[in-house]
Amino acid sequence: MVSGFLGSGKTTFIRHLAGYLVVQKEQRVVIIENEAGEVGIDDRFLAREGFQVREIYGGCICCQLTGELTLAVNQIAERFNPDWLIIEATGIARPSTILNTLRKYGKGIDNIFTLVIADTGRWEELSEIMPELIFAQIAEADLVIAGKIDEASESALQSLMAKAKEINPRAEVLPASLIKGIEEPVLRRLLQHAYA
Amino acid sequence: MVTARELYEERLNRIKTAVALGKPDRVPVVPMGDSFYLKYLRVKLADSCTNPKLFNEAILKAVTSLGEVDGIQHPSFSVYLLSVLWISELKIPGRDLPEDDLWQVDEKELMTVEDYDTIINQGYKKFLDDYYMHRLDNLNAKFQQFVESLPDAIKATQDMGIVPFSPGITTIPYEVFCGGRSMSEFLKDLFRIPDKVQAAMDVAIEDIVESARQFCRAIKPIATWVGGWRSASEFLSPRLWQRFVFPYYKKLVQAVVDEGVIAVLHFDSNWTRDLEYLRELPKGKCVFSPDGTTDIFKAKEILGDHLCIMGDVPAALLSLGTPDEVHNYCRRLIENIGPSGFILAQGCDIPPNAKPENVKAMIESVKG
Ligand SMILES: Nc1nc2c(ncn2[C@@H]2O[C@H](COP(=O)(O)OP(=O)(O)O)[C@@H](O)[C@H]2O)c(=O)[nH]1
Ligand SMILES: [Mg+2]
Repeated sequence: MVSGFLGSGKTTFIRHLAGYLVVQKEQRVVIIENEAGEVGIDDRFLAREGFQVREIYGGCICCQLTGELTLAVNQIAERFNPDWLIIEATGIARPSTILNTLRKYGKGIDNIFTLVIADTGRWEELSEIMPELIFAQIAEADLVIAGKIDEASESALQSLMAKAKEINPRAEVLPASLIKGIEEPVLRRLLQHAYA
Repeated sequence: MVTARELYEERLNRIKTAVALGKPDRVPVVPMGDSFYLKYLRVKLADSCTNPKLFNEAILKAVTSLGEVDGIQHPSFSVYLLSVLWISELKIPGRDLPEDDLWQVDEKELMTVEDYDTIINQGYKKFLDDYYMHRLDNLNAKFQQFVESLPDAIKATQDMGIVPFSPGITTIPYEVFCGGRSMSEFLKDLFRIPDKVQAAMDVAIEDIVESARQFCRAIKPIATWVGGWRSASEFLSPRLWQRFVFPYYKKLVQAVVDEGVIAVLHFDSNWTRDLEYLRELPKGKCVFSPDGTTDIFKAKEILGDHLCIMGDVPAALLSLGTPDEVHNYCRRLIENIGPSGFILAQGCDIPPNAKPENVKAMIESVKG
């Protein structure tokens, strides 16, 4: 599950990760995204229907989402039984809100690996405005990617790394700029974590 | 044989007793399930979502076949209400989406940073009239059509002995601006130009309060929603919540209560951190209605002697659970949050993919 605030780079990341898994690793991948067609699912990806879970459901933010997401997961498990299901979480939820429902009602799940993409470029702003949500997203992740380092100051990155260490000491933090893709060592590291 | 009128009085009394923090003969049940009712009846979402009269008929037909309710939260609905709340465009089934897809608020940056100046310099009403006309395709006309349909919808509901509890929705400037600017941009505004945002809010709240008063006088509802979605505690630091959110709720709730109308705090997402502050709202005249995310047991502990609580059967439980699970959850609420000062309902809205047998189990659970 890929979590992270609105615009942090979740879709960009998923596009690279899914491409890598399918082409390099020959894995069967299904993606649940926020915005239909955004990831750009093509023939290499398995579920061309494009499963979608919206960031804003009706008028609400996420209270209604977890049911829809879980139903989609169960349908995917039954119809495709993929090696990987990549879920783009809504940017304004805590991962635990989604995970609790998935763990209770989800079917065919071997393991859930949660990563968060923190928006290093907006770190100062978001940690001032909505600290609780932003910190919870980091605290509840198995791996933290400090994204958009090309747009961020060194001090923002340092502050993010220090905070992550404080609230989630077990998670590794990988600084990255996703705009030109994800470097192979980062992807390999990520898979190591996910399989661990 | 009990007449519809007598049934109505009995149910209204039950609800009013709960709101006044008393102990009714049993806990009342007052659900809401706008899109669910249409799905349940297999009525096309596209046909009803912009036609309040059809919507009212569908709600009444669905709800009476699901069980015996004391009241319903919305006697009618129109998607344009959502457009008004967040001054956003919509994706409407049949127009922008397949006929049976759920409508969506299409949140993007429709309101500009310069609009704050327009509001401050020219007034909120002038800004809004212009915005509705030119950026939301004459939204006011569509919204008025909904308002004008309400008296008939209210009467049709009463005629069936059902209480049309909270037919209107209002909210604070934070929600409106956050929707119009888009959440992502709005948070940047709070960081970069907080004084300007606040000045615009201070102008807007006066007009919002006045509109809410006018609505209460024209429609004479029993209650009205004072909603909170994007302004939930979990999305904002305590300092900013105290500055940009709570003072505006206090004002708006007081105005509604002054009009003799119950304020239903329809509060989605997590408000647990700030429950204590809700004690500053008028005692026994408001209903705190969380969506399953706020800790409702904590809410009872902190607010139980001050505000009636309504809720909060979670959407996921209604979609994924079994009737037994729903029944057990509801009984836990009835016995622990009730039996005084409590109204049973879903959290937020019954989701469109809820299982009808789960909704029936929820409604039935008040009987024991
Ligand atoms: N400069 C820069 N831009 C990025 C980076 N990652 C994503 N973006 C851009 O940020 C915007 C939002 O990215 P998106 O993946 O849609 O974010 P999402 O809302 O989390 O899915 C897009 O314009 C991306 O091209 C990055 O590392 N650096
Ligand atoms: Mg995205």
